[in-house]
Amino acid sequence: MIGTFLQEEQKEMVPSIHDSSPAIFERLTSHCDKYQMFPLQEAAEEDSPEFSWGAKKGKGALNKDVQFYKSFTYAGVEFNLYDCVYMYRHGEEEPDIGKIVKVWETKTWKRIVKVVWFFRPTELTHWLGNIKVLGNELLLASGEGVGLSNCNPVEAITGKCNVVCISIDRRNPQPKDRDLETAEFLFYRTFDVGTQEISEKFPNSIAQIEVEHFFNKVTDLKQPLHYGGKGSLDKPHSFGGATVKTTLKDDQPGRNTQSTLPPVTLVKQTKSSTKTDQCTTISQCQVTELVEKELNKVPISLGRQGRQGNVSETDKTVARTEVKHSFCTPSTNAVKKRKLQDLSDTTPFDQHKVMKSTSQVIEVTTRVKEGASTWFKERPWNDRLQEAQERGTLVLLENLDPSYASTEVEDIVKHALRQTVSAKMVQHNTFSNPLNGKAFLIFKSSEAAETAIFELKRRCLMLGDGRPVVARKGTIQDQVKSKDFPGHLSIGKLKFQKLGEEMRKAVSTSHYAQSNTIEHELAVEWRVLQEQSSLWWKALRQEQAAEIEQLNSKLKNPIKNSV
Amino acid sequence: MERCLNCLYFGEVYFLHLMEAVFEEYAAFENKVKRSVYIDNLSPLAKESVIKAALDQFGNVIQVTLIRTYLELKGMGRAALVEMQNADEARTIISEIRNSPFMISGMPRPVRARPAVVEMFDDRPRKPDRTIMCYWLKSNDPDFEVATKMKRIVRNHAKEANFLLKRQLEEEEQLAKEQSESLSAIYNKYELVQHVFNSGTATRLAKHYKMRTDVRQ
Repeated sequence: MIGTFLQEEQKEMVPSIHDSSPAIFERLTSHCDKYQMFPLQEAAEEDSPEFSWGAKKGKGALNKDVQFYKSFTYAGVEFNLYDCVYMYRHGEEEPDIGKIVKVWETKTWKRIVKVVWFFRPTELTHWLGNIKVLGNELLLASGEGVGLSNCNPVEAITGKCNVVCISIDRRNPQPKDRDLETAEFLFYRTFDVGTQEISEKFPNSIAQIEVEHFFNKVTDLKQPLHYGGKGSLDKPHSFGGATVKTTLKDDQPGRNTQSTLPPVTLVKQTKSSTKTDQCTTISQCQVTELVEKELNKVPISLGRQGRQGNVSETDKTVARTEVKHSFCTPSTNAVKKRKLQDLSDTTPFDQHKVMKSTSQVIEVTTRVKEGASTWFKERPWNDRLQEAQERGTLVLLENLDPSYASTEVEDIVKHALRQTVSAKMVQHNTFSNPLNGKAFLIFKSSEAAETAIFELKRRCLMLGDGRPVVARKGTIQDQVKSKDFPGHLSIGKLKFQKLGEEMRKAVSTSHYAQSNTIEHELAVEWRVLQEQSSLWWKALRQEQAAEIEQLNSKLKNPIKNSV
Repeated sequence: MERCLNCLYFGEVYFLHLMEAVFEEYAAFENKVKRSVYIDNLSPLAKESVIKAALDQFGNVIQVTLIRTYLELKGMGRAALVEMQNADEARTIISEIRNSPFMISGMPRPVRARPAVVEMFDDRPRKPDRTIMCYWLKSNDPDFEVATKMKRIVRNHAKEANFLLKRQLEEEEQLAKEQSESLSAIYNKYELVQHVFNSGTATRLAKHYKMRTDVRQ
């Protein structure tokens, strides 16, 4: 009997997630009701933040005592109808985001707002499955049912939220790049709470409010901005390649209806680290950089080009980066073209040349495998490592480019230190430094190894992208032959003989944890710890990367790799 | 590929053919990376066959390779690279394991799955269109100091990483200990309850107090 608490009798090892989907959805939407329990008396307390009504909208049709409003000021911030706000849910860390669709005051002076909810992608993983989502994407609730909207007291609002709609629906005014930059969240899809479907089509009304109110506010300038205005093809050279240009011409009267359009822009924008060191972090550069890389996507910079007429209005910095940007793209293109030509012209497979392009720079070419060295490769790597450590011929190289192949490392050592070695890159795991590649080298003799370490310590061997190679004596630990693994528990008292064949099998076979067992609760605790630890590592690596970047910028003449 | 290098170089056609082969090899490798999943938090008891059997329900497992780490600290789990038949299966595994705790060879610590990256494969081929440059810095070069600083920082980072790893292992052991304690407490409690029923104490007490019992085994 006891055993069943720990391992369910599982005829079917894999539980179907679909069984629990109503449960997930209930959990998701039950929180909406929690707001109703928010004590409304708090509105009357003296120490609540300041509140004042704004413009009136009209009285209720049914109930004359209800007064609707268009705006209000709460805690010093002005909220208008159809603004997006953060609403704090007691006990949750992340606030919910909703759009105010109605504001009113009841006859007992209670101030209520009705909000239509936005879902975070994490709340909808079951329905999203493998579909990619943008980093700061939300999904608008639509349809009929629980979870669409709630009426909450004004006091539940914790702040304004900047949500921009990037849907290409023709009723939606397209956001400017500036809006995209300052947007905290984006949305272009809806989640129907009744049919539980995700769709990019917007219905005509949501929660009895016309859908136009959910799109971006129409600015006083013009109607929904259509791209592909006449001036948009002025600078064809700032696009990536020939194919891009032609597609531009084909789709001339601008509005392209590819649904891949929005995600492409914004994926790049939400990434915080970029590999380019030529363009700054202004979104325009990122957008077109992406365009270069993915030539088959119709360029979003159509939108950018539409603004070129307004360059004088925007910031000087923006204009400068735009100019700078139009310089940086042709050069990167040129570099790419040149590289391809180089490869076809030169003969990199000419084995014995070591080309010195600048005074000290050595170009590492592939070396020929000497016939005599084939015996070198025969024994399995693990044994050789052990032996090398004993004999003192093992060296660990660090700060290599992590994408090097082992043979490339061997070539580098051959050219730089004039030594033939056997090298293998160390495999990365979840806590390896993503910027830093390591390799084990086995030298032919311990003296060779020591001189190499000494040389690398004393002088600086720089790799192409400004990394000095760090070397030290290699040490490897023996594989610990323990059977214990923290987290795998067993109850000492349970006598396995009593359990029987089936029980024993159930322990050792792989399975999902059923959600009503103790096993599941314990497993969830482990998952939490796992996620925590990955966050720690992420934070550490970010800091370390920043330090390296700082130093890197101080280097005066790094020779950039083509990689 | 290197065998080809030994051959004489003649004619552009041959050359282009060679280049194509190199690119193809790398493309095939990248495809393999996309189809592979990196699983860690595995117990040392988990063998390749066990992992293969475990993941067979998600699709066709082509190969399982256990990864050797050369700084084996006590209590660190094992990791494995699992190559699936197509990228969709790989993605399914990752999202399923992420959403519901999945155990292999022991419980309740679940395994963790990540998409594989190029750096996890140590037998990777070279990147085709890359030429590596390296140079020795002269000691009077202004960059020399910067480079020495960088070397020092790289070492520091390695030490920091080591420290974090140790702390992480400590946390994991701590959690395991807590869970083990609470589990044996729960077990004792249930054993006690069972004992009460088994030895007839419950029925006797019930008779004494003239209450009905519902004793189900």
